[in-house]
Amino acid sequence: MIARLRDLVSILIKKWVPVLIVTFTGMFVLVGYLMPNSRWSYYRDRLIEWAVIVAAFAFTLGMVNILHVHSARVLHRRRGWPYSMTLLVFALVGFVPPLLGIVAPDNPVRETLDRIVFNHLISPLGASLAALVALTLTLAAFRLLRTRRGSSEIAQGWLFILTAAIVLLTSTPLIMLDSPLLDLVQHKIVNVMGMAGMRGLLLGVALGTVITAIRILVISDRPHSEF
Amino acid sequence: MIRCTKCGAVNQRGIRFCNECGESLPIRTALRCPMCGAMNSIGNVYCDKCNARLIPMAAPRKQEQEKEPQPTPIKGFSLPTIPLGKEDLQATDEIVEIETEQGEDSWLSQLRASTVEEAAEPEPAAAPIETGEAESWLTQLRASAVDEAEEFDSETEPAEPVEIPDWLRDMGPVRGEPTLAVGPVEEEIPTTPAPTPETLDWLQEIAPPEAIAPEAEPAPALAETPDWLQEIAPPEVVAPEAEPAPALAETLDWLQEIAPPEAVTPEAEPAPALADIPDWLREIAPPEAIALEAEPEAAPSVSPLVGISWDEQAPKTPVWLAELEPGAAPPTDVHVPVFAGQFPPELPEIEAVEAAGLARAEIPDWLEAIRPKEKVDEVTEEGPLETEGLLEGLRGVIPLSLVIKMPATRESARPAEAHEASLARARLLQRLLAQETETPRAEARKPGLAIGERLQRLIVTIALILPVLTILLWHPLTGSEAPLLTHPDQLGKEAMALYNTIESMNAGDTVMVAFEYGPAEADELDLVAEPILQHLVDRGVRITPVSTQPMGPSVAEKLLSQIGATREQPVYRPGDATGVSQLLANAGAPRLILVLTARATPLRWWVEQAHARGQTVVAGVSAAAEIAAGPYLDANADQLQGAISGLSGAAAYENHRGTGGQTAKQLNALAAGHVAVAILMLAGGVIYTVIRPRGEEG
Repeated sequence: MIARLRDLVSILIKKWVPVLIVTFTGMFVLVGYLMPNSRWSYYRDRLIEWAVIVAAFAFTLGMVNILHVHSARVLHRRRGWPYSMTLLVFALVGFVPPLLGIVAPDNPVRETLDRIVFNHLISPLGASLAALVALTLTLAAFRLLRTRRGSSEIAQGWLFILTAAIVLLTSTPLIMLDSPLLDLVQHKIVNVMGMAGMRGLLLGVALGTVITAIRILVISDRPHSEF
Repeated sequence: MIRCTKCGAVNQRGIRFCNECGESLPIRTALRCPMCGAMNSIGNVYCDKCNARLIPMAAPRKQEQEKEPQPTPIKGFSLPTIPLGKEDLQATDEIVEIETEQGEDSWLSQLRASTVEEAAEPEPAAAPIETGEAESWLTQLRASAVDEAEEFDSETEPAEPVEIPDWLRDMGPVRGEPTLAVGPVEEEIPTTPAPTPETLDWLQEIAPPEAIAPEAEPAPALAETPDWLQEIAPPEVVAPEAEPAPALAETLDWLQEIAPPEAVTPEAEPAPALADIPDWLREIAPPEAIALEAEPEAAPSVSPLVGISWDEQAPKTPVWLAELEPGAAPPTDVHVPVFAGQFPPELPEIEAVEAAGLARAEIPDWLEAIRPKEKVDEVTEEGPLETEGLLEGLRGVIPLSLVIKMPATRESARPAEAHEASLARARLLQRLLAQETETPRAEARKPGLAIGERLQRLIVTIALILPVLTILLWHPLTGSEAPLLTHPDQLGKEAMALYNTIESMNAGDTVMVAFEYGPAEADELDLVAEPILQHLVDRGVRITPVSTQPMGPSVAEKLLSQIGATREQPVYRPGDATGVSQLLANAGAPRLILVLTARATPLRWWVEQAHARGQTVVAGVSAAAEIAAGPYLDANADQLQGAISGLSGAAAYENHRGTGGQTAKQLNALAAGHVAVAILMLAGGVIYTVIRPRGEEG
């Protein structure tokens, strides 16, 4: 009897409670958007605030999990533990300014430390990663036709190379390439074909979002539940 | 739990030796089923999944095997028996054991006991008929029987004295003597010595079935004139003998005729006349036999009893013997011997046997159960001639058709007519298999190839960095302005709309600026956002930095401090679109929303959420997100009121405002980089189109 009751409670908590929360919350927010100047908009805003709090907690939980995983790697000297140690050190360094901001918001040390960390550490590293991406893309474009064997594949490769070259050269107003024909080609490629593709993508995303939302609201999909 | 394979006792897991028998236990922790492959615990005997047996059945222990009664080698008691050798005596011993197991009342044990008693009895005096005859066949028979009985007694255990059945007692003394085989009627079959009359199967076969004794019957002792001989009825008794018959001065013809062929020699003396038949033998002969004997009859040319020579001068065939001839009707309830064709199928009637004074024997159930049941047809079937072994010279001894079931030969089924398509595929497959295949050799990775790749990367890196660094370091190194690769561009339609929107704002208005990018995109977007923010600052609006990205607030602080704008504490809200909605809900009523992003997704969030609230949105995006912002810039959509994209847009915005700045210089370097990338792409395409990698030419 007790075991059965326990199973019932477990199923109720794991399956039905998340479903009910998601369904009613989604319905409230949807109605609030459909009737913006009504009581429902108030409920909508409150629910969104709670969702932001949950998202902040989820973000914090993710950070804690990362620290836990890398700490375990360092403690047990697993493979790649020096990189995990570096991550932990810089995570602690990054935690210091915000902690100081809580403790002493107007402390100039916090601002300086924050600037040093961001300006001289985070920002250059991010920029370096972007530069590496640019270099990798250039190298891949250089060896684009290396693995092409068939004539059709070679033609496709050349089509890609020419399109990319035209867009690159016309993205900046080069003096030597100031040609109406080239501008027309660039316009057709970017504003016509590119725009058409982007519109299609956005429409697909929008339709998928609507369908997914409806399926979640009618409990057809339960990505948040174990069942 | 682990089960011991020797004694079957259950032991706890982890124990190395069985607690019961001390047998070493397996170390395995699980058993894999041989049928389905599922893993089972050690204690399982059957698989949990498919119920197959996991542990093979253990062989019976020696004790159990010893206790099991050994199967009795039942020799066909219908077959003529031969004197047992040593191996046969062992079988006889087993029979003795069986007798003891069956109980004291076993009739066989009784026979044996009586045989033992008789064997211990002193040799009786010679029979009257033997008196005066040194080499009478009967004397020799008796002597050989005695010898064999003694030999048998020495090897067998003394049987318990039991009461002999009347019918057997009437037949005469029974000794623990193995019966003698009559042997085949043909002469090439080896004969056996010392036959004992009443234990001969072939002789018993002509007696009533109840009177047939098993092969383990001991040979009778001939201490005195055997009762069986005295009381011998024609169909039951005659002792075949293997020894050559001595002079048969007094041998009766009818007795000679039923004697074994070995006992009958070509030079055998002629059968004595009927007048020489002793009285005692005459008494036991049926009356009709005597009557027949009185009249000499022409003996048939072919004896139904093979091996029995008929003398033309022999007396008339007795009636009881005549019944043995093929013409006589065979008894229906008499056991038919295996030696088909050797003996006449007809056997004397049971009534005749009973008329002779012999009671119907009671055959035990177990003996009755092993009675071979053979059809007459099978008996009459002639089989191949046996050329070796004990059955040499006989035909149809063991019908091969009953013993050996040869597989029926049948023609192979004709293949079904194949479809044309199937035939074509089969021919194609055959042709492909006949072709010699060339296995491609794996290209060995040579060290030179790795160096080439490294050199290639180095060249591309240098070709990309060099132009950019040249433009950037031209002025510091040379002091002059770097050559311009770009000309100032005019503002586009979208950029002009943005300019006009900002121009329409009044001082004190609140503009929400969303910094939706991080440090990786900051190098480009800072240059894009700076002219716009500077314009806003110049207009005197109040800038509210917000972000849904973790590094957004830091980027915002850096940029705003760089342009000298009044900095407010950036607001951060996680949750992507939910965070955007929250920001808009708590932002009050901003006049304008400026979205700075390098990706299309955050722009979409802001456009969707802000347009739902009826707010004006403008954007500053990177060159990569320019295409993503294009659909929102559609005049009919009325979702984005203006936007600038990339360094070129920012440079044009600065040029239009007339402020000038670092953006133009950065654009010059960017243009050099773009040119380098384009040249590298075209060069790589040409190289790899003309020069193919090794192994791919042709």
